[in-house]
Amino acid sequence: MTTHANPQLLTLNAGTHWLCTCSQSKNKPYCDGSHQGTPFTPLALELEATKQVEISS
Amino acid sequence: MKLTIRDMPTAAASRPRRLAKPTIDLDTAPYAITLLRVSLGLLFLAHGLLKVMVFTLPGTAQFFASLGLPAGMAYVVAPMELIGGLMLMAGLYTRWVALALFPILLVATYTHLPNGWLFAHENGGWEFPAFFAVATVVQFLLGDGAYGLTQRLRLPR
Repeated sequence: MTTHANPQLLTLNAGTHWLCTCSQSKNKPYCDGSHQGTPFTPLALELEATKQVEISS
Repeated sequence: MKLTIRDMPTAAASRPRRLAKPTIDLDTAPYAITLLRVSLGLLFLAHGLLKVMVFTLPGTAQFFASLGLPAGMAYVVAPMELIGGLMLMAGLYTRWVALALFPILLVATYTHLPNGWLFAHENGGWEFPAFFAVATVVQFLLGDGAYGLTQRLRLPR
């Protein structure tokens, strides 16, 4: 089993959350548009209810 | 990147339960509740009709007086039994109807005390009205069960 470093625990409300995948964002884990010029695009996380989301890199 | 999505931990705690897990079969229990509700409703309706149609209200009042109860109670108890019985059968505000009918049965149990406990004793022992009283409390705790009208009133669609 892979261990993921620096897990981040967030409470996200229902709705769409754009998560950074290019690691250039200044507002991680959220996308801030810094991926422009890289081949990466943000990950859309759509929640139908408020959830706890753990993000590990 | 790895995402782990969990339900909010407060979601389960937001509705406090007295027991952590249901101790009844939720598939069949609503029908058991309905069976009790309709049985109780029929019994109350029959007793109400008996007081109104057979004894008549003045006769019931006389009967109550002969037991040492206030005669005027007949004019309250008989309509309560009729309306309450119909509401129980319809599943309309079952909890509150059952709770309202409970004191009637406490008095009935009390008046049957001198007859002994066995229901087959002369004039009827107290065990039947006592059991009847317990059943109304059980119905109060259970609510409407299946096919109740209260739910339809609450969710007009």
